[in-house]
Amino acid sequence: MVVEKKITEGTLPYKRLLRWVTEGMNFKSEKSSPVVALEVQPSQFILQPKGNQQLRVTAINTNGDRFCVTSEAEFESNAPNIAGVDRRGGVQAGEIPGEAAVLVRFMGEVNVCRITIPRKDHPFSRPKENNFVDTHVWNKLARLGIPPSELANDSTFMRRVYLDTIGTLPTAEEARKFLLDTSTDKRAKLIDRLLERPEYSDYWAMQWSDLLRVDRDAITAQGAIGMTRWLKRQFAENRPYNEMVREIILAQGSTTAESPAAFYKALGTPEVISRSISQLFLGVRIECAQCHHHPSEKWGQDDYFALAGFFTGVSKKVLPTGSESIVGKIGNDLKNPRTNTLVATRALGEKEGSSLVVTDRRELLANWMMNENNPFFAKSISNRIWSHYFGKGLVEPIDDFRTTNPASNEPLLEELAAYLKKNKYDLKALTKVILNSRTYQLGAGVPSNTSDEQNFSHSINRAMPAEVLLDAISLITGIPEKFNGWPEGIRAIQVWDNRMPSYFLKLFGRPVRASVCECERSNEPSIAQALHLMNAPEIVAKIHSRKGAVRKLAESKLTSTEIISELYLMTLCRFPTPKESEVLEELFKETGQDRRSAVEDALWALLNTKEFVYIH
Amino acid sequence: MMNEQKKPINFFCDGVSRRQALRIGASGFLGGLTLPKLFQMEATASTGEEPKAKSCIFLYLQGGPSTIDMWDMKPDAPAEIRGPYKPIRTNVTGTMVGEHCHRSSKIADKYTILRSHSHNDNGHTTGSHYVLTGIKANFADGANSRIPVNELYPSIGSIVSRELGTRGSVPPYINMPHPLTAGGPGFYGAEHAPFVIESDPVQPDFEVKDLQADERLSDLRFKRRQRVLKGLEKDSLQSGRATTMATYYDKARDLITSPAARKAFDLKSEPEKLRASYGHTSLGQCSLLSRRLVEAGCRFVGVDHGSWDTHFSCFPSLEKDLIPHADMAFSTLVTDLQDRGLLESTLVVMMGEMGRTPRINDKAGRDHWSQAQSVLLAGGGIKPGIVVGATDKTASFPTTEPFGVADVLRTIFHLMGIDSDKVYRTPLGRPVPIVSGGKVIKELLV
Repeated sequence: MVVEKKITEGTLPYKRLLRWVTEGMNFKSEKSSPVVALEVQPSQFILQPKGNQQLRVTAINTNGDRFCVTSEAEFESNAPNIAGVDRRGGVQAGEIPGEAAVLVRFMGEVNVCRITIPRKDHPFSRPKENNFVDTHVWNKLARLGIPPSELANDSTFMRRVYLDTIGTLPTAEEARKFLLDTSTDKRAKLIDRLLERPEYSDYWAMQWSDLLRVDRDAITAQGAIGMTRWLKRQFAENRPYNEMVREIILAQGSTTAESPAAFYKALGTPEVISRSISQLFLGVRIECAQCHHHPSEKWGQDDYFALAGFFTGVSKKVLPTGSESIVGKIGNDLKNPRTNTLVATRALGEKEGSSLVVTDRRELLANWMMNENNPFFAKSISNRIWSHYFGKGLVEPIDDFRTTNPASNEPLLEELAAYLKKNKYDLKALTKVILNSRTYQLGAGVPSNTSDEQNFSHSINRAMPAEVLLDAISLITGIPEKFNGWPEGIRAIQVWDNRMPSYFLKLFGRPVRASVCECERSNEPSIAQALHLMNAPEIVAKIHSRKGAVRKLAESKLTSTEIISELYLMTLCRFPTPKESEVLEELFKETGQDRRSAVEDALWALLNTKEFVYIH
Repeated sequence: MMNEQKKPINFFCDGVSRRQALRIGASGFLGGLTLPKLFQMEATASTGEEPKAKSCIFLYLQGGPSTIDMWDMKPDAPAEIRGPYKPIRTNVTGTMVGEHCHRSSKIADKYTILRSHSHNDNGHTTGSHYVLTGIKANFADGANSRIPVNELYPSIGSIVSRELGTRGSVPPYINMPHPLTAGGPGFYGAEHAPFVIESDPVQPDFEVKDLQADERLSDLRFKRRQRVLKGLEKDSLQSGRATTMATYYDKARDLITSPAARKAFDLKSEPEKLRASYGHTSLGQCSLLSRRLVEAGCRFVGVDHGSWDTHFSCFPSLEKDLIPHADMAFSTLVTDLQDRGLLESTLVVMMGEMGRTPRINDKAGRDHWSQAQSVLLAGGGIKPGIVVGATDKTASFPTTEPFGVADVLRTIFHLMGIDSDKVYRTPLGRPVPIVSGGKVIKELLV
């Protein structure tokens, strides 16, 4: 076992520690004035590949005195291959262009310094800007010297925006209509139409059910139905986000009603409630601070118990009918178990305890969250929505905002949050800005930008969520999935029951809704997934069904060429290339009179292309 | 540390030198030795010795097994440490094990107990990362988070898969009945990810899903579909995820088309008597299936066996379920392998990510303790019937040289003929040796 030595004999910290021990190990000095802030210089700079830069760290104490603590501070780079840092604060750039953040830590205070290593070999020409999203993204790319990709073609855009916004593929008919439409504003119009479709609320209610822990085993079937209905209504009516969250935080009443009350049933203690709400709506993971000071943030145990104090009045009452009801009572402050002293209830980062002359102290927290100047609330949801449409947050992980985990494009995140606030927390308005940006509509990576993973210079392939993929296969084959106990024709994105047995959904990563973390949904590919798509009897049955789309096409009057086009529109939302047509025409020739098996084989092949399985 | 004193290796495992191999590739005088094959040979460049173990079965007792109640008894310690179980004699003079390990006590001459395994990572996810990759992964929020900042590093099974490849019809690296935490391929990529059997062999309706080609389809049509698919994908640009999925498709197709592979997964063809002696438990039936897969050419089977995280009231579950299940599965597996003449070439390892605290807590359980854990090893070149290392009188710390994660990994790789000092580069160009630091535990070797 190798134990890394923190202090080597003879060094300054060694001598200092030794002196303190020989002086009698006093824990308190009368003159002590704790460090309250840390400065790093330079805090942001550009380095050439292989370049280096020494950092200087200054600590400031309660008296406002400044000390140079460069040699005592700890340094850590979040991307050592892009820019590493040694123990004395010397930064060295590698050869790879990109961005790195160096975390600096001293006596419980933290700060961060950001380093950009631009690439030099590509002259940057600024493409057209659709809105402020593009302005900020191009600014960043220009600084890094990374050219964005070209605009994606109509079919790629259409497939992407359907799957992302409503979790549903366009039909062949819809796809053809859009492709043949010659108007110049057809993309914007499509975005407007999609946001009004009923599938929009189905799909977003499903995603929020994951986050709000709509787990049948935790909140009963009636509770899950009640929550799902309530969520669908929020998205169908485009309820302002702040109002929706306020209703969640202040939820009261029956846990089986059409309301978010069951969320509290799933959570339990004030500690669990407060840290879940913090992660979900503020993007602040505070659970570390339950037992000790957060290792890379300013949050300590007092902050943790001060926040939990808002939820001490929440209790469950069993009603005569046997169902449960959430009640908000006055509540009390909590003790820090280490110091054994009461901590005044207060919100994150606030100096003063909240004045608690109210009947339900959750109201104070809600007021604080929705205040114009709250530093977390609007940014957190903007980042969440962004991450949904790009497969990666501006802050990543999306619910882990920290000084030491800065956004990859801070001005963009700030303007998205400001836009949301200006538009009264209208989520559809924010979504429209994102979808209408050129950034969202970019095509796949090209050699000059494909290695960029954090600046949105090109689109990336994203896995379809399990439910969306299953619905797509059902829609294309014309054979709806049968869910035990559910009416025929119900779609996977509409099913509230997260425990409903389904090998397909489990295999493709449906979450069990055991936490408020989006990371619970797995999108890792596997051999078992490939086996299933290729060989599962259930999918073969859909393709071969007598009532299905294949049979209809095979028995129609359409020529083989028309059938091939139809199959491509159904699955990939585009027309086939001449080469692809050739391959499939060959298949039709080979099977001769047996058109049905040709159509079956062709559809099987299309459903097994990588192009089908991913959102591009 | 990378071993810099080591002499450069000029010979591959089959005794062909690199220079010779290059010549073979250039002139092609050995029929069929193509350039990719050459790379394959290069990738399997090994220690030069004939490896002892061709395969490894890794029984992972996830949560942290209480080895103080099984393999490292302390009868002289106070009651709150020694626990309720008595040590019993084994068929090796001087070696004692816990009373609930009585099946293993009868075959102690066939395996070896490493009592001085020790490391300093006390978390489940972080510990699993450490034990399975040899590298302490960086986590977003310290030990509490389930999400590593990077999932860069390949697991032991993926390393074996890359170095040795398959010997038969089944994939070289298999997990069951769940994926192992941190058992992934890291920067090695999808090609070396485990094939995960996502169903539990103990279930009466167990089958490996989707393996059987649909009866509605003739062989002719199956082939035609594959041909059409290939034709459609020929020109498609693939990157990132799509490339990964393409690799999986190739593997999936290989599985479907091989009758030998399907036969290997057919647990029902085993006699009931043998199945019962493995135990009708998840670990028991997984162990039996592991043996079948090793026979079919699998190199590394990782069995994930959970529920060892016994913080509360641990003794009822230890004596009724956990220990008997592990005792039956392990002892029958070792005996069965030996009966079939496979033990010499198959390494069996049973361990968790850590051990458990010597002192029983106020909830009658034992908590996390990574400073001392006993690891069981058998076959594949392990010297049988001995105990290596010892712990202090409370089983808290090793009193002999502690052997860490890197030492265990190095020993496994050594037995399998894999050079632990071989270096691969990450996609960004950073060189990463197969194992950093550590040394082969010589005491364990024949």
